[in-house]
Amino acid sequence: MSRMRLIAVMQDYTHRMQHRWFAVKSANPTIATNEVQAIPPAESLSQLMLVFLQVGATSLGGKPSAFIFDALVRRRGWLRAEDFVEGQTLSRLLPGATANTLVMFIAQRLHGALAALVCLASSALPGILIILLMSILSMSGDRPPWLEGAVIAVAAAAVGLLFANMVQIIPTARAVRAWYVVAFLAFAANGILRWNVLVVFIVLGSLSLCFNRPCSKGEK
Amino acid sequence: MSDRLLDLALILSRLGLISFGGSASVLPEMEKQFVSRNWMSGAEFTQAVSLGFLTPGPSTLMVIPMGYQIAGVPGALVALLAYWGPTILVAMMVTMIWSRLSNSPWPKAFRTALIPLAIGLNAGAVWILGKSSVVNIPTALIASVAAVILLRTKIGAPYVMFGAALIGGLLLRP
Repeated sequence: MSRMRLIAVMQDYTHRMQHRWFAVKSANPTIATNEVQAIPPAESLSQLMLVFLQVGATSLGGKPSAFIFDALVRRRGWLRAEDFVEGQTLSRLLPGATANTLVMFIAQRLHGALAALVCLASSALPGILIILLMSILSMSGDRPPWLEGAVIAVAAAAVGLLFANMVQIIPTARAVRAWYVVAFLAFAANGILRWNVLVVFIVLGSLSLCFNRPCSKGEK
Repeated sequence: MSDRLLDLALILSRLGLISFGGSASVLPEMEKQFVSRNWMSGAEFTQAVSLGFLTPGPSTLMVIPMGYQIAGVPGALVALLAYWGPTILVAMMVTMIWSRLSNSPWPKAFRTALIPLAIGLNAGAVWILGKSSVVNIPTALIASVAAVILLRTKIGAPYVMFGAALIGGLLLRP
């Protein structure tokens, strides 16, 4: 290997490790700098597919987005919380299953357009097979009491999962101007007043963009 | 394709494309379409919706039991393709365009501006789902313990959810 090629490879490796470190650091702000050895290896498409397959098979409660955050941001640090938030918000604005759009957004960002379709298939397949089987078995009869109890508990735990997800995103917002005003108004408008998410996005997104518009030259 | 399958495909593809903010926004219209055609009863519709929440994956998978109820396994597959297909194409195009633009100054500012919006919308989801799912002391305990475990430990969400399902199956029988 020529010297120039070796330098290029080392620079590429350093860049990748820095990217990985910032991703892990943003997901776990308490990590000390001397824990750099704990950074996971770069993810390949097959690893990403496997994670989505796992999320697709285990994300009970109808809210896979929170499981995706848990798997990719919180535990593996393959994605920055900011990128997750960007994908999650974009997916909320488009029609259809939020989780599908989010999977495609993340896979496309990490590995390109084809990966989006491959990862979508791997995340959707387990649920499709399970619900098809459950349809055949259960649509003809009543559910047993233990299953009803499990459904109640899973729905409650899903609320805890969403809450934890929200708390973990908050540190990424601290540098955003007037974040608490916009966050509170979005909560009140969509959660309490039940405004349509598109209206909330247009009104409060414009307000937030106004607070955080790009600085012109000379402006701080 | 039979007339019923074609009707099912047309109804679900139309509803999929207007389901902004999740499937909850089109559930009333979906129920009206299916029940008024005598394709299923109101109780069967509710059962299909609850199956969607019980199964891993997006809750929009609920269209599979609906399609199955209406036209068997072919109905289930047509329902899924019709509801997901057009929205996947839209999402694919938008995410590709967005990814190309997102490093310019204004899209970058837009990304930053979205963060507090996401926090507020997440808080809204916690509030809305909490009102219907956290209804007594046991469910409040389950939700609180799940949140604490996820915030304070490295235990993954799937283990927490399976643990909750196990406890619920044993202790929360109606």
